[in-house]
Amino acid sequence: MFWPAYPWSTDPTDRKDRTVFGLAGLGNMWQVICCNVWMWCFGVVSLAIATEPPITALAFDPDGRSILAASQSGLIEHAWPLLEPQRRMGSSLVSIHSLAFSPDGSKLAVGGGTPAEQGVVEIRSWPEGEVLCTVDGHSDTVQSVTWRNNDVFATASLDHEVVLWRVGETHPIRRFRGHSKGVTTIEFMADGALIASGALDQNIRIWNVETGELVRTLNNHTRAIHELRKRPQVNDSQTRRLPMLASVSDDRTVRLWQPTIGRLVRFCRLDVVPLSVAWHTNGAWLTVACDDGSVRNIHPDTMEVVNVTNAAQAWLYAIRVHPTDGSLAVGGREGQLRRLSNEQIVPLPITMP
Amino acid sequence: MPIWWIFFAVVIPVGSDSRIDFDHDVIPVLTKAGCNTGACHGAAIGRGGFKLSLYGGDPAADYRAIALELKGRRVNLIDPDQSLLLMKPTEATEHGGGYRLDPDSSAVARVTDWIRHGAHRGDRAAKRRFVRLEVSPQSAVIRGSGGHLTLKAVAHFSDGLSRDVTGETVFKAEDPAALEVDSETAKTRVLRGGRHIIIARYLSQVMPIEIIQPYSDRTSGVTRGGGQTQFVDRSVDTLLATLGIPASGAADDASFSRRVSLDLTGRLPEPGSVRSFLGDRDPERRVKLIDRLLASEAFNEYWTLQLAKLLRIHAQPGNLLGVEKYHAWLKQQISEKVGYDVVARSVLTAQGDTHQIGPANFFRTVSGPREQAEFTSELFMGSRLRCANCHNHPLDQWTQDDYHGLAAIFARVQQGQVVAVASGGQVIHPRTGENAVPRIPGEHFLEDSDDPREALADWLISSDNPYFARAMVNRLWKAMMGRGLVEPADDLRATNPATHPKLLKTLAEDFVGHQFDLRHTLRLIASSDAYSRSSRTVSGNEIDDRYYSHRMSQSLEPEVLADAISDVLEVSERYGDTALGTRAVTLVDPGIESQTLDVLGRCSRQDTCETPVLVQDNGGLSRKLHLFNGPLLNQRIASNRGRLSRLLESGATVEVVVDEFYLAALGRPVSDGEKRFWNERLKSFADPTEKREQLEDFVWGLLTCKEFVTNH
Repeated sequence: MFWPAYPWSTDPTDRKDRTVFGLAGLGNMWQVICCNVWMWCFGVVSLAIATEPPITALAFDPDGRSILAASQSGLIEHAWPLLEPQRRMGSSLVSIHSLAFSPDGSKLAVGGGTPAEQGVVEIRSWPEGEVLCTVDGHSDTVQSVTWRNNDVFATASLDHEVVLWRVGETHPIRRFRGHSKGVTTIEFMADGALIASGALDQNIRIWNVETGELVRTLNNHTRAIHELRKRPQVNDSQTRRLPMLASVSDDRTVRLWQPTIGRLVRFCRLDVVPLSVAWHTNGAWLTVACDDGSVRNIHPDTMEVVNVTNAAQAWLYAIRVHPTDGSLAVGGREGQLRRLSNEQIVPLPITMP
Repeated sequence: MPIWWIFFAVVIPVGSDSRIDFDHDVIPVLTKAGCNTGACHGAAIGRGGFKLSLYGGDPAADYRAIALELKGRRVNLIDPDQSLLLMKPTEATEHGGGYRLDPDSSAVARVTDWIRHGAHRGDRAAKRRFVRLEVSPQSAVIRGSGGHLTLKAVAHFSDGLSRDVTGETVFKAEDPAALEVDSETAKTRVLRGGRHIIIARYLSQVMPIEIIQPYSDRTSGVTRGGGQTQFVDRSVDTLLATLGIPASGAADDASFSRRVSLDLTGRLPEPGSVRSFLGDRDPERRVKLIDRLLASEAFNEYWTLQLAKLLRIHAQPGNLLGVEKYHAWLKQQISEKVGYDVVARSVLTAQGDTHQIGPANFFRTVSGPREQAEFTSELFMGSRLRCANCHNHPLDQWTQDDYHGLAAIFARVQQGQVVAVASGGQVIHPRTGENAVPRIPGEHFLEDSDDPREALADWLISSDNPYFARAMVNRLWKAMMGRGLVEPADDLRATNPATHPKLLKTLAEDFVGHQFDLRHTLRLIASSDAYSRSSRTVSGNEIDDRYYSHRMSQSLEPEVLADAISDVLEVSERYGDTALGTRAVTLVDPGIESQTLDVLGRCSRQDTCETPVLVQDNGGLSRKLHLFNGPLLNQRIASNRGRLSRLLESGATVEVVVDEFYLAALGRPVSDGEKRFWNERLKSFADPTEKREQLEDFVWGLLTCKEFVTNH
């Protein structure tokens, strides 16, 4: 059942944005309302609405027809763009912090684990969603998982390590040790030859994937780093861009790096903390989700914040760009999945430079 | 339009108001369990990747750390029992801090409930504000061994709610060997006699609880007292009576004369003055002596030194001229009996060329606005704000806003040779990353103004300021009595209560009422019975080191001791390139070349010169060795220009030499027993050289004895 963001609307197609609460087990909001009314009548006001656990990770399925939202209540697939819950996938993970599809879209990596005890990744078949295998090689939760190719992926954990894995094998290919605090985010670069990791120790480290050597450290951030995202390359022979990595940090900055040479290209400082970052599909725009519930669109050439959309009242932990229509999905503390249309978030025409 | 959304709109706010209030219900659990102490997650960098504010001083930051950071991993809204926040302290999972909470306790149940309801900060947290903590008893006297009592704490909130929070309050004895407090029941048992302090902590408030168990059943009478000093003696004697500590009798005239002369002028009384005073039969002779000393030039010189130490007047490289101006200005203030409030205002608002405007050098004492804030608060408020640089002060009311707000007041002051207030200049608040807003500590933020120092000075010296007068009278009391009512003297706070709170308050009020006149308060203290007590202990008060049952001996300050040695020997010391005969207490620059002052342990005034009492009494090994063996005494005793040579050349007998040195060094005539002793030792030497050598040994013995090197 579709749940519109604006309850006074009866037409689900008349709004540009959509919101859904991931109410596990309740299924539709009429039940919620009935339940609330019942409880209101009987004075159980403090239990009037069950609090949803925060949405901690998002991923569009490869063809863009659905979006996966992860939380402590599991993994829920929502249809896109209406956000109707389609199915719920149970997971052995107490917490899920990262979702990533393999390049060919046949596998889904679900990273998380049990806080302070175990970091686990489930490799699931897609679109079936069945668990193919699990890897358990961290002593704290996996905060980020990313694919190098269809067989090899990497995990970053709060146990301070980055680990390279091959699907189907229980022992890691390589461990990258050097961060002094938990690693929160990783991203492959240079066609998988390098991997960038960002951590609570304020540093971004660039590693040689084949040798495990630390290539360089980017240390301009002054607080914990929340997420790294590389700018997508455009399949256009006329447009050749240098590799570019965006990072967001607790120091309220969004920074752009040229990681192959270790150069901080430019940055901007916000008045809020950016928690998650995403590039639009053509790499022309950068969007960040913040701790005040806002989504901010940034022009990467000027680092100017072009517009601000208030998407929620609380922290937004995840933001992803739809692979084809350019609209956004955001989720966070309120346990609320929301779609923001292309027009809402990017008021200017998106054209390739 | 369908109506179902009305239900939704009504229900949502209700649902968001959970029963458990994070600020007032969850944080006390963490504090009680010790999670947010400095040794644990309350440390500046946290512990194990989890940082809490020290003792819950910043609930918003704590909520963020617990419920929001790292995608909310520390609370599990689906299965609250699996929350890291609970699993760690109950040791359901490995915890470096060990077992802190019983999984079956009401505290765990409360936190679990909070998580179950969504781990919100709670609307009530915004609406309800903790106002104050009430503990009972605030003070108690427990008689008999094994006595005990049960403490109670009630929290009062802005919405009118009052709640028994005894179970959530941390009660901590300052001296665990003296008091035992059961953390669960707050039942308190006294383990030994004395006055003991328990610190009660709930949320942001800390309160002292005074527990007294008399040392004995003996009581010394409360002084008959009278006149101006009555409140001083009544306060001191009442506490002595409560504690069962007997008071020593009054010091004899000679001891009093030496004591008050050293305390008010930093000089030993001259032999002629001693003889004259001892021969005076006027019942008011002591008061007259006090008045005479207060009116002397020696008082101006010595108290200029005292204030110079407080103000940390020292020469920056290349700025001797400025320091000379500063010192001269200060001496002028003392000589002209300018009130301490005016002195404070003058330095706080000074600007101009430091080579011309003496008080402007106040802003060249330390560098940087934060250092200036720390210095100013310690000097004029007797309060150490520096803890609040990194976190709200754990033992006082000061917040980071107070610290950085005070620093912001000084941010625009340019601290070069010309002190000026610039149009720009900011201090960054480390918590917000924004410019700190100028703020009167503990009071209010300041509006934009050309010079916010004016508002600070006005507030500080106002008659109802709770810090300024107390800080100064406590220092004056310490200077006269050997120990402050609050120790250390620059650490006035609720959790470091005065031994005699009412006395401190009354002295401060009296100081304000007399236009912050230093001489008035010094005279008041010097005229009291408590001041005039003998330093000799009586049975039952030997262990007293803070209740003034007897005079507390204190080492002479380096400058005073150096001058005393010169005065007794009549051999001057040269300091740097100053004229021979310059007294040490009049030196402007504490860095001036002088091995004597170095070995005697002078304060460089780069930092505070206020030392704890115990350190002060010690004097140090180096000082003692130099006194015993060094040239400081030996060369000058052997001088053919000093008092000894003069007396011998005049043909004085051994008795006369001994009596003269006793009067000069100890401020008293030699006793009959001592006279016999020295006669037996010294009279048998007929050879002049041998006789002189023996007398030099006598002088050496006199100048190294405890009676000489202390004020008692």
